[in-house]
Amino acid sequence: MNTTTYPSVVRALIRKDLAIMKIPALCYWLAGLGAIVMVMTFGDASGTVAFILFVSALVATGVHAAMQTVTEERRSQNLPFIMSLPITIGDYTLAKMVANLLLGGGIWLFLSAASYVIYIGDSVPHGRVPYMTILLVQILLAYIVILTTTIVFASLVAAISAIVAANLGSQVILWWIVGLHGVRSTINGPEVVWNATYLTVLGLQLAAIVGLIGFTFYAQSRKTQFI
Amino acid sequence: MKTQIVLSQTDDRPIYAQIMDEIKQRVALGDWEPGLRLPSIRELAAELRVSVITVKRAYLELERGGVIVTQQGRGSFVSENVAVSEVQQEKLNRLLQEVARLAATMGLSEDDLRALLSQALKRR
Amino acid sequence: MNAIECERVCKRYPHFALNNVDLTLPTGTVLGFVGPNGAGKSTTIRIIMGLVHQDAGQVRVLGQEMPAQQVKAKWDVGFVSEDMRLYSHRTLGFHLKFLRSIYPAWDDAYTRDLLDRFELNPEQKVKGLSHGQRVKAALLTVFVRRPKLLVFDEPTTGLDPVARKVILEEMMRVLEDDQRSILFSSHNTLEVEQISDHIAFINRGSIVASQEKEAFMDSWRRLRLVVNGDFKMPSLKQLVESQQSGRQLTLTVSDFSEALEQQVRETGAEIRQVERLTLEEIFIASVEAHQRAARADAKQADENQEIAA
Repeated sequence: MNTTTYPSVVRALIRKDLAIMKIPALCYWLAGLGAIVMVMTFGDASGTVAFILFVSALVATGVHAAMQTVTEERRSQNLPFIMSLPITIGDYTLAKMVANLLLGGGIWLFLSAASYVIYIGDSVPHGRVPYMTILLVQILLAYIVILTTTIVFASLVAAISAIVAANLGSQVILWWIVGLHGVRSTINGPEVVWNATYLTVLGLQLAAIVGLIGFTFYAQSRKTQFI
Repeated sequence: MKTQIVLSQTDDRPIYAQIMDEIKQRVALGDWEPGLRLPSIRELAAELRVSVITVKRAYLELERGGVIVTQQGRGSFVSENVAVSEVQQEKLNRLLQEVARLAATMGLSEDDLRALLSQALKRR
Repeated sequence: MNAIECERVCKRYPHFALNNVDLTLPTGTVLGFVGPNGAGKSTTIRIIMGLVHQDAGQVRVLGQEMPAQQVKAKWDVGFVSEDMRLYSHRTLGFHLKFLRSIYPAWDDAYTRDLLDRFELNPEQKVKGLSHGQRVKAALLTVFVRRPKLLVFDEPTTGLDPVARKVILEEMMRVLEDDQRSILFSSHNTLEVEQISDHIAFINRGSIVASQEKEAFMDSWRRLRLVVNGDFKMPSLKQLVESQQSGRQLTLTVSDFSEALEQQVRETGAEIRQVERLTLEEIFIASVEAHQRAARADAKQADENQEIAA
């Protein structure tokens, strides 16, 4: 699979997907901002509501973008129009990946950064920071599972299965991580401690993300039928 | 140049023959004078919305019949020494042949045919 | 140079297979691709576009190997299929702007001219367009790019006669440039007969006939004969179909020639009329003959099996 020597086409594809997702993405960013404002105004009291709003904004952006730009494009028979352009399946995959990471990854980065600012400024024990990081990366990993499954299978059933699996899987993983000795011993401490347990989990998560993205390009390059 | 040629889909003749006849007609009537440059094959194909190969065939046969001449790279022209009467004569011959064929399948005698011809002559 | 070359292209699906498809489109010409539904037209076209990869065989488009060199080829190819849709929640203008950002040699004047002639409003959302307007809009997105090769799968299906005329007109305008070529499939045989330089018939995944149009149409005839009771049908390899009603016998032949006419006359039959066929008639006769042959083969195979058993 060789990617095109004409990056302008991939760029045009990305711009097109961003344009299509502009309005919904804007709404989700506003919801995310709302969550931050709530926490900053009302403090911990609004924590639960803010957290739900936060995760909702994140999931909604990611899932909506993947469904709209990949599944919907196929269902609505726009794919022949796109694939008749001077691109390979690799270019198509690259464009979808970048557009979605800008949308879903973008809001994840924004909300994660906001969480840090709020958390560190707060009186909560800083021992929770590594766990929070793992939680945030796990959310990103779950999103990547959904995104890559959607790109490879481009079907509603596959996307929904991925959403359910990613959600349940993350719950189980996080529950398991909380039980690990290295986590239990530091989570309520006053200091940020990045022990081997945290680093191993984080490393595994990042490897999974990179692996999934790489596998998506590989799986796409094996396809012989695109519409 | 737009030729204003009109083709018929209900006509039995193939399209290339219709194009030939239309052009011969224009030459015979003197509307297209000797030396006049014809549209290129692709131009005429575009105007008539028929395939290039069909127009090419019409031009080739017109050339063979001496109605037009094609100069490589310059285009096709109405032949300078086209005998208008020959074009008309050829058309008459073809129609007569058709009449003869049809009369034969209908089982008409030569006298029947003569009678019909004189009637036709009177009508016009 | 040929705009498209397919050599022994095969693609196997569970319930359908494309068998050794050979197809050639010489540069500067139009190839009309005709076949019944499910015969393999769309699959062949998708393989040509690199949207489906063949299992075996070679495909070259504008000199580029497909699917390996598809990017190079697709820069100069415009494709519209019947099952292709534009983004319904966007305007035609959105699509044009998108394409404009990809194709460097974009011509705004030509775009306006086409919008005008196709009677399309770029501000209108695609979902608000009629079926005919959608088809025209999709075709417009191809014409504006001025591709060297236009590949249309059923471009005029569902168009009214006036819209169809506008489309055919634009297709023929493309051909004014002898470096540009068109491959199109259609159910409308009249349309194919009118504008194609070459014709290919496909049936059950195999090319049944592929020839230059004038020669192809010229080679088919229907002979209306009157025969006597003792008439014995000569075995003609050109005979595709025969129908008899009393003393009247109608023969449909391919590869017609004066010699054939003479051969028929020598049987003592009287030839009442020799007629040319329309492409539709030729198409139906070829497909039916192909299907009869396939059935005969299958029957033969069955019998062989029974004998073996």
